[in-house]
Amino acid sequence: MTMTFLGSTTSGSSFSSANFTSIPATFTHLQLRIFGRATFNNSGFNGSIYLTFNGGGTSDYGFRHALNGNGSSVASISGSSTGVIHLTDTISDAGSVANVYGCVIIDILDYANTNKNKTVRAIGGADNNGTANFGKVTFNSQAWLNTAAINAILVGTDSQFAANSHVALYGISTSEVTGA
Amino acid sequence: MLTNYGDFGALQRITYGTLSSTNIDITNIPQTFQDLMLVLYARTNASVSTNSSIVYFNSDANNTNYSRTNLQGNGSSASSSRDTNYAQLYYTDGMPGANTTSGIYLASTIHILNYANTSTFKSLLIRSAADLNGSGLTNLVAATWRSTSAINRITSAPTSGQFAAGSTFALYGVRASAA
Repeated sequence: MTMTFLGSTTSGSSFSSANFTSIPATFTHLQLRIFGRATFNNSGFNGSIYLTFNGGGTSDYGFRHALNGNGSSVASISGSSTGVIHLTDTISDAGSVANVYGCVIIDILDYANTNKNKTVRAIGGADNNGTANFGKVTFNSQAWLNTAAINAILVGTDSQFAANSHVALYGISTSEVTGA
Repeated sequence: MLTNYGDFGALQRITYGTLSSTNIDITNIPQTFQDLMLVLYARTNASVSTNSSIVYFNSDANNTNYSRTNLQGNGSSASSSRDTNYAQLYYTDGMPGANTTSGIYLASTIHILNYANTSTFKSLLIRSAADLNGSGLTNLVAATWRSTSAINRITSAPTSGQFAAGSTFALYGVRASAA
């Protein structure tokens, strides 16, 4: 397996989104690695990550599913599409302990295949040492019901990404020999 | 200890090793990557069925700077738990010990994002699993080390005993810049 860095967005001040365009179709998979904190206070929930592919098209996003743990109980949730890939409870938010950020790793497999809809899976979470918004750890999945190759990804959150958040996109190439 | 560099594009191997009644202590970690990824395949030589491992950073093992939120499945039910104000971070629940089937190891991957940033606490995302053909655990953990120090040292050991023969580890750096 080989990772290729495709681009990143970070700032010493808050920023609204990370926008990756002209993504080459030459890799096997894509991976987003996000160290983030939302500037919105979700009042007891972690912040979410929102993905939009190829510039929009609100009817193409499927039902979302997530499994999460909040430190005392487990929940399996689902929700209808809101016109985006919605990855819940994956990063910290404005109600979290100062300096606490969440991290989420998002895999988009076979993103360039034009015969398949696209499936997004993500693991993420933020831990607040039992205080503030307490924190959650989550496993998310949602489909993009579109067979087009993904060539652009807009990454957003609840309001904005706080200063020092970092959003990076990688292309993953697998071995023709081992498949790994 | 920084030897045997391997290069997988943006994913670069910093070090790796085979363990045998020894533990992990990685020093002088370069500050040039965006993220770190520690891959552990291990069991303990302690006379237990299973136990966990601890990890700590920059020799910070005697304060209360670690916490985690855990999501766990044991084959029949799912649960979630939290550790707060721990002196070290527990991260490999269900790691096989000397009293269980030989040849079975726990697989764990620790992602440490933005590890060199000196303005934020450090966030970790950990996946661990071991299956003992009738028992076992799978875990997904979000954890925090409440320090703004850049991570330059990673130390890890089982909660009892040492990593058993056949255990392996590898530390990778993930670049966020063109090669």
